[in-house]
Amino acid sequence: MKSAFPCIPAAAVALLLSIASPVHSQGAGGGGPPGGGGPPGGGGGGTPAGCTFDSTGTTGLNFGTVDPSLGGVVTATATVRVGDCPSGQTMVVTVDDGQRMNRTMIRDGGTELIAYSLTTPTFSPGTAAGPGVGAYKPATFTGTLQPGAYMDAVAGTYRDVLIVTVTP
Amino acid sequence: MTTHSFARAMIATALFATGGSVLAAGNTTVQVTATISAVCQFKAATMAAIPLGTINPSTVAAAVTGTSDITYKCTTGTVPTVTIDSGGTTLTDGTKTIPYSFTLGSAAAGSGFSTAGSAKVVGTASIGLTDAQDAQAGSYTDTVTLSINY
Repeated sequence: MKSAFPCIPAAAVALLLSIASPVHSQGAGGGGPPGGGGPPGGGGGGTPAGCTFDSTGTTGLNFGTVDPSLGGVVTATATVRVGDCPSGQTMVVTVDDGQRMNRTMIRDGGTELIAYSLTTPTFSPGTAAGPGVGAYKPATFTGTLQPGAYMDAVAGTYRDVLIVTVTP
Repeated sequence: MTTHSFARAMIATALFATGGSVLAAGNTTVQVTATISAVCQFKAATMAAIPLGTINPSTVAAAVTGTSDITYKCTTGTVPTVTIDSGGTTLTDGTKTIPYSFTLGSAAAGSGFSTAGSAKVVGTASIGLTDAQDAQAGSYTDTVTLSINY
C-alpha cells in the first residue's frame, strides 16, 4: 500500500483536523480517507471512498430541563446522518469524550460539571452498510444522566461538544 | 526537495477545498446540553407547631416567644423566598383573641436533593408583654400558611 508519497496524505489529514477541532486533540479519522483521491467536489471521475455526514441531519444531545428534585435517570438521543460513500460500504461511527475528554458538561458562566454517559452509535433499525453516493442514513446514540450526577447540581445550563467521526 | 514542495502544494489545495466547512468530511459535532432548574420544596406539608406554653398573666415579665424550624430543599445554591400567605397576627380560642406576631428569619441556600439533609428558615411567634398580661384565660391557636418561592 505504500504509495509514491507515503507521508503526504497523513500530513494533509493532520492539518485539517487541527483546524477542525481546536479544543480537541483527537486522532480521529481512523486511517484517513483511503486513497485520498481528490477533495470532495473535486470531481475527476472517482467516487468518494470516505463516508461523510449530512450537515443538515444532525440533532443535538439535549437533555432538556432537568428537575433535580425528581431524581430519575434522564436520557436523550442524538442523531447524525452519515453516508455518501459506496453502497454497501461498512460505516463505523464513533463519538469522542467531549471538550474535557471525560464526558462532562460544564455550566455556562461557571466551573461545575455534570457527568453523562453515551452509548455506541448504531444504525438500528438498519445496518451499517452505506446507502450509496449522495445518500445518507441516520445513526443514533443515547446519553444518560444518573440521578447522582445532577440532583445536587447548581441551577443553570450545562454544555459539552462531541466530535463524531465516521470511518472510512 | 521536490517532495517537500509538492507536499506543501497538496496541503494548500486540501485546505482550500474544504474552506467552507470547518470539519473534515469524516467528522461532525454534536452539542450536548442540559438545563438544571431551580426548584424548592418544603420538606413537609405541616411543620412542627410552635408551643408558647402556659402563660400566667399575673407573673409574666417579658414577651413570650417560641420558634420552629421550617425545613425545605432547594437546588444547590438556590436561595428561596419564604412568605406568609395567611395567619400570623392573631391567636384565638374560637371567640377571644390575643394579638401576636409571626416572623421569618433569613432563608439558607439549598444544597440539592441527593441527601436527607435540608435547609431551613426559622419562624418565630411572639406575644408582647402587655398582650400576655391582659389575655383572658383559654387555649389559643393560630395557623400560618407559608409559600416557598424561587
